[in-house]
Amino acid sequence: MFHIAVCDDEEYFRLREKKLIEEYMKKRGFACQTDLFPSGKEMLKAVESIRQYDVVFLDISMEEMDGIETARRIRQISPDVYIVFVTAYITYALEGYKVNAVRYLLKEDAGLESAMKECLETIAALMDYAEVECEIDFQGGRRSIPADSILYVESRLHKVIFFVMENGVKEYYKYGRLDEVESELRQYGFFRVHQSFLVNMKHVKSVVRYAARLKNGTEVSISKKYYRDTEMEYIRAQGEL
Amino acid sequence: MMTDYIYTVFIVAMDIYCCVLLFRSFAEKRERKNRLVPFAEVCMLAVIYLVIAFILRDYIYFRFMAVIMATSVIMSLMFRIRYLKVLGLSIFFCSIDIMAEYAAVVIFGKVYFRILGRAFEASDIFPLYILSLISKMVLLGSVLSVKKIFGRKDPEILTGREWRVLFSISFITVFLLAAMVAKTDLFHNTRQDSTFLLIAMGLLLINFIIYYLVNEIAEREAKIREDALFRERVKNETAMYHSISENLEKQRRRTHEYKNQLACISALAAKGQYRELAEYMGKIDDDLRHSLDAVDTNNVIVNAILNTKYREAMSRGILLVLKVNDLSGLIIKDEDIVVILSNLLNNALEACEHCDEKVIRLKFVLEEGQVVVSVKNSIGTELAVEKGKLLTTKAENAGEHGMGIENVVETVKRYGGRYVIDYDKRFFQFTILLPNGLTGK
Repeated sequence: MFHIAVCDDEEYFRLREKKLIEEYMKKRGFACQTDLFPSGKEMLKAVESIRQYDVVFLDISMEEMDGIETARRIRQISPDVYIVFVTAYITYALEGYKVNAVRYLLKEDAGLESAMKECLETIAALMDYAEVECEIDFQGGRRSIPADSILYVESRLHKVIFFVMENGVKEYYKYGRLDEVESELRQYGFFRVHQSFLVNMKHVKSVVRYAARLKNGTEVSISKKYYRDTEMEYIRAQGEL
Repeated sequence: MMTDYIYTVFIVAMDIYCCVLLFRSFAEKRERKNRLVPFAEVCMLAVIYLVIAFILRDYIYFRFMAVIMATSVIMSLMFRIRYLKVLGLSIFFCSIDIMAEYAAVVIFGKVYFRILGRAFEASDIFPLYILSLISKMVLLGSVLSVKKIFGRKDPEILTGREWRVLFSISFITVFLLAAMVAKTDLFHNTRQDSTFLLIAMGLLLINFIIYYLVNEIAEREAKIREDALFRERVKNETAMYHSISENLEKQRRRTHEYKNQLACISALAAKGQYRELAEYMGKIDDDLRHSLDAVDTNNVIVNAILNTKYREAMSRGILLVLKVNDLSGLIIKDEDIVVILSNLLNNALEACEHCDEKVIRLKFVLEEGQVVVSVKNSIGTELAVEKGKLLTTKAENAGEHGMGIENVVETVKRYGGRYVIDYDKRFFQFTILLPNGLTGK
């Protein structure tokens, strides 16, 4: 069930966007509930319900509370919600506010429908992806870890050690070979950068000769053999929208 | 003897040719109005070599140093090069010259021993001459190898196979020379010796002429290719600028119209004529709403291109999804931005025409001193195997991509950037990463 919020001070657009959303959802066979708000202020009144939204469509030109400000507050409340800016004009400033909006939709009539469709499709795909949880039998017991929280996996002697982001970096290990882990995790965007290291490309900030710097500061060695392919994979990932 | 003089001149000429060839791959020739000047410089060097060889015949080390000095002086006259660099290259050249001789002696000495059953002696004049010729061949080979490995980045005109064919000519020559030595009736017939020497020199000369010709042809081909690329760029840029100025003109006209319409609207509203107002609103040119700018990246050129392309895409029923940020800090030159964006977007628009899913995703951001430009578009299944050319980053010769992509790749490399081309049955993605610090020359 998708929970979606639309925030726009013009009724015409609120209704139009809701209609487009519901049409798309019906076509794809998803259940969805779309809530409408005439202003950011109204929306932020119900803090609790914000947490349950999967996607929020925000109009930038709203008067009472600036759309950007609303977006900031929403991001503070819910770090995972997908924020979509709906605007008459995509300006450079928008991306600069670092609320990590997934899309910028132009309000003009002709393109809005196809833009909405593309946006919802992308979000659906991302959500599918984000929900993946891995069930792994560690030495300490069986655990269910979201694939995205795994920073990298290292193989040492006969152990494979998972470095997981959970209020800081935690280590879990089990006996096995990195090759096996690689074949399981590759589909979630993990890449073999070294005989002993398997890295989650989502957490890679930059790739230099011969190490991958992760967003949390950790550096993972890349061996010469795997460097070229790793670099290509990194560049490809940078290009994703 | 006459042949001796011809031989000496020949050897010196080969030496100088190899020297010039080496310098050419590390520096630019000075431009001279009079074409005879470089010829005179070469002759001067030849004379100096001969003089040194004669006067300092017995002093090996002095001769070595004198040759280096003479080479440095003349080469710095001929080429635009720093003093330290010219000295370094001269020393390098003289060293490989000596090494070539040594290599020839060692190889030849062994062969000689095998054939004649005795060691090489100083009185064996004829074989000595052949030996020198062989050493010049080795010198030429070394210089060409150095040129290939370390020289300035010239586009690869000759394939590996063609190089091997060329080198095989040299091997054949050396082989013939060796055969000549093995088969001649040495020491008995000086006339025959002279003839054979002339033949040997002739063979060597043919070798050098072939290399010279091939080099000329290769350079000409490279130039033609460069020109073609250049013309393609100019065509793109011109088209871009035309389209931009057209749009600016349209923009001006629309603003004018807009003002008129507003005046009319406020007049009707002021008079309370709401029914007429509603009618009027219904009639207003819809075009206005669709023609205003869609995106602002704080960079004039990027805005111009993106807005033009966005409108073009909309008119062709293609959705352009954009992710941009503040690009005012871009170091990339305007012309180069045009090359990259126009080519990528034009290709993407073309590709989408033949698809059901008409979507192009463009990312153009500047973050932490790094520029990311990426275009992802759907492709029809036909395009994946288009014209038998597989578009891959690993292509040896950039000419395997279309001309437009080649321009983009060349531009990216100039800025010290990296790129990846990726595609499957449904999507094509071209991603570029550029550091925003270097200036493309």
